[in-house]
Amino acid sequence: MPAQPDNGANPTEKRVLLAAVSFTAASLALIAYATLGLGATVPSCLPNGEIFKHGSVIKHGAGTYEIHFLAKMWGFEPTRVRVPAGSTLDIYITSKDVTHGLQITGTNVNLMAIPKAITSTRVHFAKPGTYAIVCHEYCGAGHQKMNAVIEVSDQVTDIYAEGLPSPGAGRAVVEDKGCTACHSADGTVGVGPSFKALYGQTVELANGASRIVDDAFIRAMIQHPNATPVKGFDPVMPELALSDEEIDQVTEYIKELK
Amino acid sequence: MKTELQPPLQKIVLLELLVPLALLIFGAYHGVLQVLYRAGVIRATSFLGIEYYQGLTLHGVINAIVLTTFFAVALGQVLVSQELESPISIAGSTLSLVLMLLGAVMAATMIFLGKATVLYTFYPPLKAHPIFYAGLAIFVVGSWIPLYTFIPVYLRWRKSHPGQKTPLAVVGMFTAFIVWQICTLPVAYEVLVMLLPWSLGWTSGINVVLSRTLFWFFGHALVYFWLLPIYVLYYTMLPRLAGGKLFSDFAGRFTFMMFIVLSTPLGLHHQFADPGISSAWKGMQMVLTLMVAIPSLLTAFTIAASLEYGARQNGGTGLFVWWKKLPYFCTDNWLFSYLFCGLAIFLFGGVTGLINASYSMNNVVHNTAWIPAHFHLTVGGPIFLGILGMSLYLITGILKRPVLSPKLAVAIPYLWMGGTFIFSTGLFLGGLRGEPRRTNLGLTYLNPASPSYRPDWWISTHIGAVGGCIMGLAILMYFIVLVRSLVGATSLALERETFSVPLSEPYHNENVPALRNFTPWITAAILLIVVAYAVPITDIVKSNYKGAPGYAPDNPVAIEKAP
Repeated sequence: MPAQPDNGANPTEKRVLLAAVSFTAASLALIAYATLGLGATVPSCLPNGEIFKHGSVIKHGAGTYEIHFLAKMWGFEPTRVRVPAGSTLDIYITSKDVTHGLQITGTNVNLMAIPKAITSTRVHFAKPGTYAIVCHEYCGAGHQKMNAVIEVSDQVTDIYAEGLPSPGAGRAVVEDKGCTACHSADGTVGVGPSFKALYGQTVELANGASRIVDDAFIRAMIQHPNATPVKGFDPVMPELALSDEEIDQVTEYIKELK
Repeated sequence: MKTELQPPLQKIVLLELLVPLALLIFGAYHGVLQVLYRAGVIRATSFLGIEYYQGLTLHGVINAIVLTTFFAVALGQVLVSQELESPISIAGSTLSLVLMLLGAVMAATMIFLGKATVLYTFYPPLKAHPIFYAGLAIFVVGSWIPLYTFIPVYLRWRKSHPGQKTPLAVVGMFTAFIVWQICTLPVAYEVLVMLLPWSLGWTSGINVVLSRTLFWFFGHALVYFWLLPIYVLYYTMLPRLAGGKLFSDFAGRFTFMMFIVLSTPLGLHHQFADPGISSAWKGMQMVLTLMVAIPSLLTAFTIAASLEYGARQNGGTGLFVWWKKLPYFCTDNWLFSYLFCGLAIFLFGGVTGLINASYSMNNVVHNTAWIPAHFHLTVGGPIFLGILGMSLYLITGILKRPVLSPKLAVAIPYLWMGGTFIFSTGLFLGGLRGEPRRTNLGLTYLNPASPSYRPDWWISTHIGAVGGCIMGLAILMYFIVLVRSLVGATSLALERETFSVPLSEPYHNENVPALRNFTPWITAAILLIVVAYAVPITDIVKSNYKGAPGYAPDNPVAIEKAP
């Protein structure tokens, strides 16, 4: 093949290149205006902030609130929040387990929920209405069940939330299931050890081994009470069918009894 | 006439094209099923033994990774050996084929067994079977090899053709594989160093923010790796199929070099909603993303100008009337319709891509049905149609068989285009109303008996279902044409002595020396990647994001202890 000749560029090409560059520059200028001028920005993050373990709502002042969403397989905590119209909300989200997402329909709130990290944004609700929240990232078999709702109302004056863990949940389980019959909360040793100052202690097992009372040990003792008897106590604890959630709540309660 | 493809390479290329097309039966089948689940036509967790999210994983892995990568390898081998008139290492090509087949079979088997229902993005801490991750890694390693079989062929050609421009098709295929080599390194790290040992139980806990960042470091360059072979078809085949020449050789070379520089340092635009990355770096990579509009607009102009030149050669006149003189429905030239329909679809894919990348505008659409609507107009449009058309062209060409049912072959891309437009209209609409992607909507949101029922999503999901079914019909027709041409009427085998891909000549053949050497562009790409990613990744590694325990997709209790 002979060397190809250079027959030069068509002048249109340069004009088109200029048009492409101008178009891109104009798009960037508009984005810069939207971000810096109108304050429409992308979600931010809290570097190395402490990760919350439960959902909550916090009132800062009249019409300014914080919502901490805990995303988990397969639901949000809280599940329903009602705020007065005209409220400004700071929304924080993290995940208890896998990756989830949160979008509030009709707003610009769109956040990923990632374990060990917190994403946040601010939203202002001017108009009353029901704003649906769906999990928008695949999070396992129950993903399609995972949703929540924010109601903005001009009939209320304060924030209200459903689906939050009650503060005394662990204590309620302990009383409900009859644990208090053998385990005191004040340090008195009964049929079983007292819950007071139990967490973090080292206990000796009947087989001579020693274990630290941590989350895993408490879980094991509740699920299989007599598999590894503790020295000094008779293996008489009944097997209670506690849910994972209840075990977590009981563990939190024991931790609180310092 | 060009030299013919070496016979052993012909067999390799045929396998590279036919095996993924066979897998596409499952991938396309679950595409159709998905729109039915989403519209609530199917209200179940599974249908005929395949669960919704399992089928979605198959759809993504087969259609977006296996089919596209095999096609790029096959087209690269054909064009490089043809244009550089020199054989490619058969040992290297065979090794690449064997590794890619092995990897694809390993990953697909685990998905079929329900051990890897993690979707094609495989975000941890959802944990898949180790064989799934190993299969992906082996597949990617297999796809690295072709570049290293092309390089010696190029060096031989360069020695015997001093001063001559490298053929544009070769420049384009090298661009695709250079981008692939750069962008697959971080995902190889993610899979081999982070996910595989973790799923084997050798390590515990995972840094989810880091793994997502490494995935998208790869994930957006991946879409350019899908696109570049199709750009090669647009620049080097379409002008000739239209009856003319490539309007500007410079535009092609400039576009390819821009893609080398810009393909990778922009993955953060998939993570605008993520924690752990400062908005300054998200903004910086957004700017680089928008720069891709420059080569894209240049391509749109150049291809349109080439089509006009071809139409005028065919007798077209006037300001607009020349449009009538393109071979839209020509049965002898059926490949034109695949590339042309792909271009028409891509106009909308490109515009919606700009919307997605436009920083805070992404908040409105991120992870909604809008996103699959967009990428079915890109990977599901020009890329998929290019793969279907060119695969049929290469398979029948190598086997020296005519395409039976050519009228059907011409109709397929138009039907597909109609289907994707309807499908995407439904998903765009739904996305703007908050309809999520990747969700078995029929069980809850599209189920009047569920407390979560969303009647406002009825219209959008049903438009999507109609479009999806039409797309399924087009693929069914494609398989009829392909199978008929493969098995029917063998006596019709063509008396053609050699087969080669007809490529266009340039109309304007500009000489721009800066575009004739990859080295400065690759150097610029690496520098830009370091600038764009060094700080965000350092921040993530230094953070407290480590140690998230793994989960099986069907159980909310962790399958490993927190470290």
